[in-house]
Amino acid sequence: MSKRKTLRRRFWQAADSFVETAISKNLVLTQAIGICPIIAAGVSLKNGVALTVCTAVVLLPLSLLMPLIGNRLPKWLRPVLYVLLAALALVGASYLLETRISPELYAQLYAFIPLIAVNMLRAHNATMGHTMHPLETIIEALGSTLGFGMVICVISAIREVTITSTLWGIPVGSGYTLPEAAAPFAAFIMLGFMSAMLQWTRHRIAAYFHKKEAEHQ
Amino acid sequence: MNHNLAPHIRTEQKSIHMTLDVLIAAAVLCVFSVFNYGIRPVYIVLLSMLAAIVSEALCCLIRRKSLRAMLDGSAAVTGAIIGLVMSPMVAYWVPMVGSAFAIIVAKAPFGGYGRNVFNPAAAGIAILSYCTPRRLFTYPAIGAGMQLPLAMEIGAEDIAIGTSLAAQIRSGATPTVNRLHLLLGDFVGPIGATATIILLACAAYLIIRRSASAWTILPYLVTCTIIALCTPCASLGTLHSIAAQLCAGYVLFTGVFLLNDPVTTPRFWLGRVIYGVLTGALVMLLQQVGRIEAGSCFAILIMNTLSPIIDRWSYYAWRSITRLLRIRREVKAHE
Repeated sequence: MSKRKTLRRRFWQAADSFVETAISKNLVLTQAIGICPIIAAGVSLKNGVALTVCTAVVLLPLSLLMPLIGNRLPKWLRPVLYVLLAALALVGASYLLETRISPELYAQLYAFIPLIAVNMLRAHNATMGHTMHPLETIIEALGSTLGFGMVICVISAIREVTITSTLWGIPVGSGYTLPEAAAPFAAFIMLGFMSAMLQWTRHRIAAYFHKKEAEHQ
Repeated sequence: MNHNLAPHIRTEQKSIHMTLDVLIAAAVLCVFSVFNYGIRPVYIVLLSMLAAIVSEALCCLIRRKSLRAMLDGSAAVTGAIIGLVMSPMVAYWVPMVGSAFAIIVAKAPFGGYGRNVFNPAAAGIAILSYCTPRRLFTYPAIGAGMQLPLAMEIGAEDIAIGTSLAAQIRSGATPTVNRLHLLLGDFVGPIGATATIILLACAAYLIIRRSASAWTILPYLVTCTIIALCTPCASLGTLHSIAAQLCAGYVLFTGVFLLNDPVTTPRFWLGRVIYGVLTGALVMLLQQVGRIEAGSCFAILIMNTLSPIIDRWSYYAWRSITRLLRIRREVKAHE
Protein backbone atom coordinates (compact mmCIF):
# COMPACT_ATOMS: atom_id res chain seq x y z
CA MET A 1 0.00 0.00 0.00
CA SER A 2 2.75 2.42 0.98
CA LYS A 3 4.71 1.50 -2.12
CA ARG A 4 1.67 2.31 -4.19
CA LYS A 5 1.31 5.64 -2.43
CA THR A 6 4.93 6.53 -3.07
CA LEU A 7 4.52 5.64 -6.72
CA ARG A 8 1.44 7.75 -6.99
CA ARG A 9 3.20 10.66 -5.32
CA ARG A 10 6.18 10.26 -7.63
CA PHE A 11 3.86 10.24 -10.64
CA TRP A 12 2.16 13.46 -9.57
CA GLN A 13 5.51 15.06 -8.86
CA ALA A 14 6.67 14.17 -12.36
CA ALA A 15 3.45 15.47 -13.91
CA ASP A 16 3.82 18.62 -11.87
CA SER A 17 7.37 19.27 -13.04
CA PHE A 18 6.36 18.52 -16.64
CA VAL A 19 3.51 21.04 -16.59
CA GLU A 20 5.70 23.52 -14.78
CA THR A 21 8.51 23.44 -17.34
CA ALA A 22 6.14 23.28 -20.29
CA ILE A 23 3.63 25.94 -19.34
CA SER A 24 3.73 27.79 -16.08
CA LYS A 25 7.51 28.25 -15.95
CA ASN A 26 7.98 28.18 -19.69
CA LEU A 27 11.63 29.04 -20.34
CA VAL A 28 10.89 31.17 -23.39
CA LEU A 29 8.11 33.18 -21.84
CA THR A 30 9.42 33.61 -18.31
CA GLN A 31 13.20 33.79 -18.80
CA ALA A 32 13.47 34.76 -22.49
CA ILE A 33 15.74 31.79 -23.18
CA GLY A 34 15.86 30.66 -26.80
CA ILE A 35 14.07 33.64 -28.29
CA CYS A 36 16.70 34.16 -30.98
CA PRO A 37 15.66 31.23 -33.19
CA ILE A 38 12.00 32.19 -32.68
CA ILE A 39 12.51 35.78 -33.77
CA ALA A 40 14.85 35.12 -36.66
CA ALA A 41 13.71 31.78 -38.04
CA GLY A 42 10.14 31.40 -36.81
CA VAL A 43 8.49 32.71 -39.96
CA SER A 44 6.79 29.52 -41.13
CA LEU A 45 5.30 26.54 -39.37
CA LYS A 46 7.75 24.16 -41.07
CA ASN A 47 10.68 26.08 -39.61
CA GLY A 48 9.04 26.02 -36.22
CA VAL A 49 8.51 22.26 -36.23
CA ALA A 50 12.04 21.64 -37.56
CA LEU A 51 13.55 23.75 -34.78
CA THR A 52 11.44 21.96 -32.18
CA VAL A 53 12.64 18.60 -33.47
CA CYS A 54 16.24 19.81 -33.35
CA THR A 55 15.76 20.92 -29.75
CA ALA A 56 14.31 17.55 -28.83
CA VAL A 57 17.18 15.72 -30.54
CA VAL A 58 19.70 17.68 -28.51
CA LEU A 59 17.95 17.92 -25.22
CA LEU A 60 16.62 14.41 -24.67
CA PRO A 61 19.87 12.38 -24.99
CA LEU A 62 21.86 14.98 -23.13
CA SER A 63 19.45 15.13 -20.22
CA LEU A 64 19.76 11.36 -19.98
CA LEU A 65 23.54 11.47 -20.20
CA MET A 66 24.44 14.35 -17.94
CA PRO A 67 23.01 12.98 -14.65
CA LEU A 68 24.89 9.75 -15.31
CA ILE A 69 28.35 11.21 -15.97
CA GLY A 70 28.01 14.83 -14.85
CA ASN A 71 28.66 14.18 -11.17
CA ARG A 72 31.91 12.41 -11.81
CA LEU A 73 33.35 15.37 -13.65
CA PRO A 74 34.89 18.50 -12.14
CA LYS A 75 32.52 21.43 -12.09
CA TRP A 76 34.37 23.54 -14.68
CA LEU A 77 34.32 20.74 -17.23
CA ARG A 78 30.54 20.21 -17.15
CA PRO A 79 29.43 23.17 -19.30
CA VAL A 80 32.26 22.56 -21.77
CA LEU A 81 31.32 18.94 -22.18
CA TYR A 82 27.65 19.86 -22.36
CA VAL A 83 28.16 22.27 -25.24
CA LEU A 84 30.44 19.84 -27.04
CA LEU A 85 27.93 17.02 -26.76
CA ALA A 86 25.09 19.33 -27.79
CA ALA A 87 27.05 20.40 -30.85
CA LEU A 88 27.73 16.76 -31.66
CA ALA A 89 24.04 15.92 -31.40
CA LEU A 90 23.20 18.90 -33.57
CA VAL A 91 25.61 17.74 -36.27
CA GLY A 92 23.58 14.55 -36.42
CA ALA A 93 20.31 16.47 -36.37
CA SER A 94 21.33 18.80 -39.16
CA TYR A 95 22.64 15.90 -41.23
CA LEU A 96 19.24 14.23 -40.88
CA LEU A 97 17.49 17.49 -41.75
CA GLU A 98 19.56 18.00 -44.88
CA THR A 99 19.54 14.50 -46.29
CA ARG A 100 16.23 13.06 -45.15
CA ILE A 101 13.83 15.94 -44.63
CA SER A 102 14.50 18.92 -46.86
CA PRO A 103 17.72 20.59 -48.06
CA GLU A 104 15.83 23.87 -48.56
CA LEU A 105 14.72 23.91 -44.95
CA TYR A 106 18.29 23.20 -43.88
CA ALA A 107 19.55 26.08 -46.02
CA GLN A 108 17.08 28.37 -44.24
CA LEU A 109 17.87 27.19 -40.76
CA TYR A 110 21.54 26.22 -40.65
CA ALA A 111 22.58 29.48 -38.99
CA PHE A 112 20.12 29.06 -36.13
CA ILE A 113 20.63 25.41 -35.26
CA PRO A 114 23.95 25.93 -33.40
CA LEU A 115 22.24 28.64 -31.34
CA ILE A 116 19.99 25.99 -29.86
CA ALA A 117 23.00 24.25 -28.33
CA VAL A 118 24.04 27.36 -26.43
CA ASN A 119 20.46 28.18 -25.50
CA MET A 120 19.92 24.77 -24.05
CA LEU A 121 23.08 25.17 -21.99
CA ARG A 122 21.40 28.13 -20.33
CA ALA A 123 18.21 26.13 -20.05
CA HIS A 124 19.83 23.33 -18.13
CA ASN A 125 22.35 25.37 -16.25
CA ALA A 126 20.31 25.19 -13.10
CA THR A 127 19.81 21.45 -13.03
CA MET A 128 23.28 20.41 -14.14
CA GLY A 129 25.04 20.77 -10.82
CA HIS A 130 22.49 18.81 -8.79
CA THR A 131 22.14 15.12 -8.39
CA MET A 132 18.95 14.24 -10.13
CA HIS A 133 17.43 11.05 -11.29
CA PRO A 134 17.74 10.60 -15.08
CA LEU A 135 13.98 10.12 -15.22
CA GLU A 136 13.39 13.49 -13.59
CA THR A 137 15.75 15.27 -15.97
CA ILE A 138 14.19 13.62 -18.98
CA ILE A 139 10.73 14.73 -17.87
CA GLU A 140 12.04 18.25 -17.50
CA ALA A 141 13.70 18.04 -20.89
CA LEU A 142 10.43 16.86 -22.44
CA GLY A 143 8.59 19.69 -20.73
CA SER A 144 10.99 22.37 -21.90
CA THR A 145 11.00 20.98 -25.44
CA LEU A 146 7.22 21.08 -25.45
CA GLY A 147 7.21 24.61 -24.05
CA PHE A 148 9.68 25.88 -26.61
CA GLY A 149 7.87 24.01 -29.39
CA MET A 150 4.47 25.43 -28.45
CA VAL A 151 5.72 29.01 -28.42
CA ILE A 152 7.68 28.76 -31.65
CA CYS A 153 4.88 26.88 -33.44
CA VAL A 154 2.20 29.39 -32.43
CA ILE A 155 4.35 32.37 -33.39
CA SER A 156 5.60 30.90 -36.65
CA ALA A 157 2.09 29.78 -37.64
CA ILE A 158 0.64 33.26 -37.03
CA ARG A 159 3.54 34.83 -38.90
CA GLU A 160 3.22 32.43 -41.83
CA VAL A 161 -0.48 33.19 -42.19
CA THR A 162 0.25 36.92 -42.03
CA ILE A 163 3.24 36.93 -44.35
CA THR A 164 2.22 34.55 -47.12
CA SER A 165 -1.41 33.70 -46.27
CA THR A 166 -0.50 30.00 -46.12
CA LEU A 167 -0.18 27.43 -43.34
CA TRP A 168 2.32 24.59 -43.83
CA GLY A 169 2.39 25.64 -47.49
CA ILE A 170 -1.40 25.29 -47.91
CA PRO A 171 -3.24 28.51 -48.84
CA VAL A 172 -5.54 29.73 -46.06
CA GLY A 173 -7.10 33.02 -45.11
CA SER A 174 -8.26 35.90 -47.24
CA GLY A 175 -5.13 36.24 -49.33
CA TYR A 176 -4.32 39.60 -47.77
CA THR A 177 -0.65 39.58 -46.80
CA LEU A 178 1.53 41.74 -44.62
CA PRO A 179 5.18 40.94 -45.45
CA GLU A 180 6.41 43.20 -42.64
CA ALA A 181 5.42 40.53 -40.09
CA ALA A 182 8.69 38.79 -41.00
CA ALA A 183 10.56 41.62 -39.27
CA PRO A 184 11.86 40.86 -35.76
CA PHE A 185 9.57 43.39 -34.09
CA ALA A 186 6.47 41.34 -34.90
CA ALA A 187 7.85 38.32 -33.05
CA PHE A 188 8.94 40.50 -30.14
CA ILE A 189 5.46 41.96 -29.81
CA MET A 190 3.84 38.52 -30.00
CA LEU A 191 6.28 37.14 -27.41
CA GLY A 192 5.50 40.09 -25.17
CA PHE A 193 1.78 39.52 -25.42
CA MET A 194 2.12 35.76 -24.82
CA SER A 195 4.34 36.38 -21.82
CA ALA A 196 1.90 38.90 -20.40
CA MET A 197 -0.97 36.47 -21.02
CA LEU A 198 0.87 33.73 -19.14
CA GLN A 199 1.54 36.04 -16.19
CA TRP A 200 -2.08 37.14 -16.15
CA THR A 201 -3.35 33.54 -16.20
CA ARG A 202 -0.97 32.55 -13.41
CA HIS A 203 -2.13 35.47 -11.31
CA ARG A 204 -5.77 34.61 -11.92
CA ILE A 205 -5.25 30.97 -10.97
CA ALA A 206 -3.28 31.91 -7.87
CA ALA A 207 -5.98 34.38 -6.84
CA TYR A 208 -8.65 31.69 -7.35
CA PHE A 209 -6.89 29.19 -5.10
CA HIS A 210 -6.15 31.87 -2.55
CA LYS A 211 -9.84 32.70 -2.39
CA LYS A 212 -10.81 29.05 -2.08
CA GLU A 213 -8.35 28.53 0.74
CA ALA A 214 -9.72 31.54 2.55
CA GLU A 215 -13.25 30.17 2.16
CA HIS A 216 -12.22 26.81 3.69
CA GLN A 217 -10.75 28.52 6.71
CA MET B 1 12.50 69.31 -2.00
CA ASN B 2 12.24 69.36 -5.75
CA HIS B 3 8.72 68.28 -6.66
CA ASN B 4 10.00 67.19 -10.08
CA LEU B 5 11.43 64.12 -8.40
CA ALA B 6 8.07 62.66 -7.55
CA PRO B 7 6.94 59.80 -9.76
CA HIS B 8 4.26 60.43 -12.28
CA ILE B 9 1.61 61.60 -9.90
CA ARG B 10 -0.64 64.25 -11.29
CA THR B 11 -4.13 65.21 -10.42
CA GLU B 12 -6.72 64.81 -13.13
CA GLN B 13 -7.04 68.56 -13.32
CA LYS B 14 -3.40 68.97 -14.17
CA SER B 15 -3.21 66.25 -16.79
CA ILE B 16 -6.33 67.44 -18.59
CA HIS B 17 -4.83 70.93 -18.73
CA MET B 18 -1.68 69.55 -20.30
CA THR B 19 -3.51 67.50 -22.90
CA LEU B 20 -5.78 70.43 -23.71
CA ASP B 21 -2.75 72.64 -24.30
CA VAL B 22 -1.21 70.10 -26.66
CA LEU B 23 -4.55 69.72 -28.47
CA ILE B 24 -4.78 73.51 -28.91
CA ALA B 25 -1.29 73.54 -30.41
CA ALA B 26 -2.24 70.67 -32.71
CA ALA B 27 -5.42 72.52 -33.76
CA VAL B 28 -3.37 75.55 -34.79
CA LEU B 29 -1.16 73.34 -36.97
CA CYS B 30 -4.29 71.80 -38.50
CA VAL B 31 -5.67 75.21 -39.37
CA PHE B 32 -2.37 76.09 -41.02
CA SER B 33 -2.46 72.95 -43.13
CA VAL B 34 -5.95 73.85 -44.40
CA PHE B 35 -4.38 76.82 -46.22
CA ASN B 36 -1.86 74.51 -47.88
CA TYR B 37 -3.89 71.43 -48.75
CA GLY B 38 -7.58 72.07 -48.22
CA ILE B 39 -9.78 70.29 -45.67
CA ARG B 40 -8.34 66.77 -46.14
CA PRO B 41 -5.58 67.05 -43.44
CA VAL B 42 -8.21 67.97 -40.84
CA TYR B 43 -10.13 64.80 -41.65
CA ILE B 44 -6.93 62.79 -41.34
CA VAL B 45 -6.15 64.20 -37.89
CA LEU B 46 -9.75 63.85 -36.68
CA LEU B 47 -10.03 60.24 -37.85
CA SER B 48 -6.71 59.44 -36.23
CA MET B 49 -7.95 60.92 -32.94
CA LEU B 50 -11.22 59.03 -33.27
CA ALA B 51 -9.38 55.73 -33.78
CA ALA B 52 -7.23 56.41 -30.73
CA ILE B 53 -10.23 57.26 -28.54
CA VAL B 54 -12.20 54.21 -29.69
CA SER B 55 -9.19 51.94 -29.03
CA GLU B 56 -8.76 53.46 -25.59
CA ALA B 57 -12.43 52.85 -24.82
CA LEU B 58 -12.07 49.25 -26.02
CA CYS B 59 -9.04 48.73 -23.79
CA CYS B 60 -10.92 50.23 -20.85
CA LEU B 61 -13.79 47.82 -21.48
CA ILE B 62 -11.46 44.83 -21.74
CA ARG B 63 -9.69 45.77 -18.54
CA ARG B 64 -13.07 46.42 -16.90
CA LYS B 65 -12.06 49.94 -16.00
CA SER B 66 -14.49 52.79 -15.86
CA LEU B 67 -14.62 54.84 -19.04
CA ARG B 68 -13.95 57.85 -16.85
CA ALA B 69 -10.28 56.81 -16.87
CA MET B 70 -10.00 58.04 -20.44
CA LEU B 71 -11.27 61.52 -19.67
CA ASP B 72 -7.70 62.78 -19.34
CA GLY B 73 -7.57 63.13 -23.13
CA SER B 74 -4.22 61.42 -23.53
CA ALA B 75 -5.60 59.14 -26.26
CA ALA B 76 -6.77 62.15 -28.26
CA VAL B 77 -3.29 63.67 -27.99
CA THR B 78 -1.70 60.45 -29.23
CA GLY B 79 -4.09 60.35 -32.18
CA ALA B 80 -3.53 64.02 -33.00
CA ILE B 81 0.27 63.65 -32.98
CA ILE B 82 0.10 60.61 -35.24
CA GLY B 83 -2.29 62.43 -37.59
CA LEU B 84 -0.03 65.48 -37.78
CA VAL B 85 3.02 63.61 -39.07
CA MET B 86 1.09 61.90 -41.88
CA SER B 87 1.50 62.92 -45.48
CA PRO B 88 -1.50 65.05 -46.58
CA MET B 89 -2.35 62.49 -49.29
CA VAL B 90 -2.17 59.41 -47.08
CA ALA B 91 -5.12 57.00 -47.14
CA TYR B 92 -7.45 57.58 -44.18
CA TRP B 93 -6.95 54.12 -42.71
CA VAL B 94 -3.19 54.51 -42.28
CA PRO B 95 -3.21 56.95 -39.31
CA MET B 96 -6.16 55.04 -37.83
CA VAL B 97 -4.14 51.81 -37.82
CA GLY B 98 -1.20 53.67 -36.31
CA SER B 99 -3.33 55.16 -33.53
CA ALA B 100 -4.96 51.84 -32.75
CA PHE B 101 -1.54 50.20 -32.57
CA ALA B 102 -0.23 52.96 -30.34
CA ILE B 103 -3.03 52.54 -27.83
CA ILE B 104 -3.56 48.77 -27.97
CA VAL B 105 0.08 47.65 -28.10
CA ALA B 106 2.22 50.48 -26.73
CA LYS B 107 -0.02 51.92 -24.03
CA ALA B 108 -2.79 49.74 -22.63
CA PRO B 109 -0.80 46.53 -21.90
CA PHE B 110 1.62 48.51 -19.73
CA GLY B 111 -1.23 49.81 -17.60
CA GLY B 112 -2.47 52.90 -19.42
CA TYR B 113 -1.65 56.56 -19.03
CA GLY B 114 1.10 57.25 -16.53
CA ARG B 115 2.54 53.75 -16.67
CA ASN B 116 3.51 53.37 -20.31
CA VAL B 117 7.22 52.76 -20.91
CA PHE B 118 7.21 54.00 -24.48
CA ASN B 119 5.71 57.09 -25.98
CA PRO B 120 2.58 55.65 -27.67
CA ALA B 121 2.57 58.21 -30.48
CA ALA B 122 6.22 57.48 -31.30
CA ALA B 123 5.44 53.75 -31.36
CA GLY B 124 2.52 54.31 -33.73
CA ILE B 125 4.59 56.47 -36.08
CA ALA B 126 7.44 53.97 -35.95
CA ILE B 127 5.29 51.02 -36.93
CA LEU B 128 3.70 52.98 -39.79
CA SER B 129 7.01 54.25 -41.13
CA TYR B 130 8.40 50.73 -40.99
CA CYS B 131 5.42 48.99 -42.58
CA THR B 132 4.14 51.54 -45.11
CA PRO B 133 7.05 53.88 -45.86
CA ARG B 134 5.83 54.58 -49.38
CA ARG B 135 2.44 55.82 -48.21
CA LEU B 136 3.92 57.84 -45.38
CA PHE B 137 6.74 59.54 -47.24
CA THR B 138 5.05 60.38 -50.55
CA TYR B 139 4.09 64.02 -50.32
CA PRO B 140 2.07 66.15 -52.73
CA ALA B 141 3.83 69.08 -54.35
CA ILE B 142 2.80 72.30 -52.68
CA GLY B 143 0.98 75.13 -54.43
CA ALA B 144 -1.03 78.14 -53.35
CA GLY B 145 -4.64 77.36 -52.53
CA MET B 146 -4.39 73.69 -53.44
CA GLN B 147 -7.39 71.48 -52.64
CA LEU B 148 -6.57 67.81 -52.24
CA PRO B 149 -9.41 65.47 -53.25
CA LEU B 150 -11.24 63.84 -50.34
CA ALA B 151 -11.12 60.32 -51.80
CA MET B 152 -10.02 57.44 -49.56
CA GLU B 153 -6.84 56.89 -51.53
CA ILE B 154 -5.00 59.38 -53.70
CA GLY B 155 -2.75 57.78 -56.28
CA ALA B 156 0.56 59.22 -57.39
CA GLU B 157 -0.94 59.77 -60.85
CA ASP B 158 -3.81 61.96 -59.57
CA ILE B 159 -1.73 64.85 -58.30
CA ALA B 160 1.77 66.25 -58.62
CA ILE B 161 4.28 64.62 -56.25
CA GLY B 162 7.00 66.65 -54.59
CA THR B 163 10.33 65.66 -53.06
CA SER B 164 10.38 66.38 -49.35
CA LEU B 165 13.12 68.41 -47.72
CA ALA B 166 14.33 65.42 -45.70
CA ALA B 167 14.66 63.31 -48.87
CA GLN B 168 16.57 66.10 -50.60
CA ILE B 169 19.04 66.39 -47.72
CA ARG B 170 19.45 62.62 -47.42
CA SER B 171 20.23 62.23 -51.10
CA GLY B 172 22.94 64.89 -50.81
CA ALA B 173 21.17 67.29 -53.16
CA THR B 174 21.02 70.99 -52.42
CA PRO B 175 17.62 71.83 -50.84
CA THR B 176 15.60 74.02 -53.18
CA VAL B 177 13.57 75.78 -50.46
CA ASN B 178 14.56 79.35 -49.72
CA ARG B 179 14.81 80.84 -46.23
CA LEU B 180 11.48 82.63 -46.17
CA HIS B 181 9.62 79.51 -47.25
CA LEU B 182 11.47 77.50 -44.59
CA LEU B 183 10.25 79.92 -41.97
CA LEU B 184 6.68 80.05 -43.24
CA GLY B 185 6.41 76.31 -43.78
CA ASP B 186 5.81 76.67 -47.48
CA PHE B 187 7.57 73.47 -48.54
CA VAL B 188 6.81 69.79 -49.19
CA GLY B 189 6.41 67.72 -46.06
CA PRO B 190 4.02 66.21 -43.48
CA ILE B 191 0.76 67.90 -42.42
CA GLY B 192 1.96 69.53 -39.23
CA ALA B 193 5.72 69.22 -39.21
CA THR B 194 6.61 71.89 -41.76
CA ALA B 195 5.16 75.04 -40.20
CA THR B 196 8.38 76.19 -38.54
CA ILE B 197 7.20 79.46 -37.10
CA ILE B 198 3.96 77.95 -35.78
CA LEU B 199 5.87 75.04 -34.25
CA LEU B 200 8.16 77.49 -32.46
CA ALA B 201 5.13 79.43 -31.27
CA CYS B 202 3.55 76.17 -30.04
CA ALA B 203 6.77 75.37 -28.16
CA ALA B 204 6.71 78.80 -26.52
CA TYR B 205 3.03 78.41 -25.63
CA LEU B 206 3.56 74.98 -24.10
CA ILE B 207 6.58 76.16 -22.12
CA ILE B 208 4.76 79.25 -20.82
CA ARG B 209 1.77 77.14 -19.83
CA ARG B 210 4.20 74.70 -18.15
CA SER B 211 2.88 71.85 -20.26
CA ALA B 212 6.35 71.34 -21.67
CA SER B 213 9.74 71.81 -20.14
CA ALA B 214 12.35 74.18 -21.52
CA TRP B 215 14.94 71.90 -19.89
CA THR B 216 14.24 69.32 -22.60
CA ILE B 217 13.39 71.43 -25.64
CA LEU B 218 16.31 73.86 -25.51
CA PRO B 219 19.12 71.28 -25.09
CA TYR B 220 17.49 69.23 -27.84
CA LEU B 221 17.39 72.16 -30.26
CA VAL B 222 20.93 73.28 -29.36
CA THR B 223 22.29 69.76 -29.97
CA CYS B 224 20.47 69.51 -33.30
CA THR B 225 21.84 72.92 -34.30
CA ILE B 226 25.41 71.99 -33.40
CA ILE B 227 25.19 68.73 -35.35
CA ALA B 228 23.61 70.55 -38.30
CA LEU B 229 26.50 73.03 -38.12
CA CYS B 230 29.00 70.17 -38.30
CA THR B 231 27.32 68.52 -41.29
CA PRO B 232 26.48 71.39 -43.66
CA CYS B 233 24.47 70.96 -46.85
CA ALA B 234 26.43 71.52 -50.03
CA SER B 235 26.41 75.05 -51.50
CA LEU B 236 24.16 76.64 -48.87
CA GLY B 237 24.98 79.38 -46.40
CA THR B 238 25.63 78.25 -42.82
CA LEU B 239 22.39 79.63 -41.41
CA HIS B 240 20.31 78.37 -44.33
CA SER B 241 21.85 74.91 -44.05
CA ILE B 242 21.12 74.71 -40.32
CA ALA B 243 17.55 75.90 -40.82
CA ALA B 244 16.98 73.40 -43.62
CA GLN B 245 18.21 70.50 -41.50
CA LEU B 246 16.15 71.54 -38.49
CA CYS B 247 12.99 71.84 -40.61
CA ALA B 248 13.53 68.57 -42.47
CA GLY B 249 11.50 65.51 -41.51
CA TYR B 250 10.13 65.50 -37.98
CA VAL B 251 13.11 67.15 -36.23
CA LEU B 252 11.37 70.26 -34.93
CA PHE B 253 8.04 68.47 -34.50
CA THR B 254 9.74 65.82 -32.35
CA GLY B 255 11.17 68.52 -30.12
CA VAL B 256 7.81 70.17 -29.55
CA PHE B 257 5.37 67.26 -29.37
CA LEU B 258 7.08 63.90 -28.91
CA LEU B 259 9.84 64.94 -26.54
CA ASN B 260 7.50 66.42 -23.96
CA ASP B 261 5.41 63.43 -23.10
CA PRO B 262 5.13 63.87 -19.31
CA VAL B 263 5.17 60.12 -18.66
CA THR B 264 8.25 58.94 -20.52
CA THR B 265 10.66 61.83 -19.98
CA PRO B 266 12.88 62.17 -16.90
CA ARG B 267 11.52 64.35 -14.10
CA PHE B 268 14.75 65.80 -12.71
CA TRP B 269 15.99 68.90 -14.56
CA LEU B 270 19.52 67.55 -15.15
CA GLY B 271 18.04 64.29 -16.42
CA ARG B 272 15.87 66.29 -18.79
CA VAL B 273 18.89 68.15 -20.14
CA ILE B 274 20.80 64.90 -20.73
CA TYR B 275 17.72 63.32 -22.28
CA GLY B 276 17.29 66.27 -24.65
CA VAL B 277 20.93 66.26 -25.71
CA LEU B 278 21.08 62.51 -26.34
CA THR B 279 17.76 62.51 -28.21
CA GLY B 280 18.92 65.40 -30.38
CA ALA B 281 22.11 63.57 -31.30
CA LEU B 282 20.25 60.35 -32.05
CA VAL B 283 17.57 62.12 -34.11
CA MET B 284 20.13 63.85 -36.29
CA LEU B 285 22.06 60.60 -36.71
CA LEU B 286 18.98 58.61 -37.73
CA GLN B 287 17.85 61.43 -39.99
CA GLN B 288 20.97 60.95 -42.08
CA VAL B 289 21.92 57.28 -41.90
CA GLY B 290 18.75 55.33 -41.15
CA ARG B 291 16.78 53.27 -43.65
CA ILE B 292 13.68 55.34 -42.99
CA GLU B 293 13.36 58.95 -44.03
CA ALA B 294 12.27 60.29 -40.66
CA GLY B 295 13.92 58.31 -37.88
CA SER B 296 13.11 60.56 -34.97
CA CYS B 297 10.34 58.32 -33.63
CA PHE B 298 12.88 55.51 -33.32
CA ALA B 299 15.23 57.86 -31.48
CA ILE B 300 12.42 58.67 -29.04
CA LEU B 301 11.65 54.98 -28.50
CA ILE B 302 15.32 54.16 -27.84
CA MET B 303 15.66 57.06 -25.43
CA ASN B 304 12.45 56.09 -23.62
CA THR B 305 14.10 52.86 -22.51
CA LEU B 306 17.03 54.83 -21.07
CA SER B 307 14.92 57.56 -19.50
CA PRO B 308 14.49 56.04 -15.98
CA ILE B 309 18.23 55.34 -15.73
CA ILE B 310 19.09 58.85 -16.88
CA ASP B 311 16.65 60.25 -14.34
CA ARG B 312 18.06 58.28 -11.42
CA TRP B 313 21.75 58.68 -12.25
CA SER B 314 21.50 62.38 -12.96
CA TYR B 315 19.75 62.87 -9.63
CA TYR B 316 22.41 60.93 -7.72
CA ALA B 317 25.20 62.71 -9.60
CA TRP B 318 23.69 66.11 -8.82
CA ARG B 319 23.15 65.22 -5.18
CA SER B 320 26.74 64.03 -4.71
CA ILE B 321 28.14 67.12 -6.42
CA THR B 322 26.12 69.51 -4.27
CA ARG B 323 27.03 67.57 -1.15
CA LEU B 324 30.73 67.67 -1.98
CA LEU B 325 30.53 71.40 -2.64
CA ARG B 326 28.73 71.96 0.64
CA ILE B 327 31.29 69.97 2.59
CA ARG B 328 34.11 71.90 0.96
CA ARG B 329 32.45 75.15 1.81
CA GLU B 330 31.95 74.11 5.41
CA VAL B 331 35.56 72.96 5.74
CA LYS B 332 36.76 76.28 4.35
CA ALA B 333 34.53 78.19 6.73
CA HIS B 334 35.86 76.09 9.60
CA GLU B 335 39.44 76.86 8.68
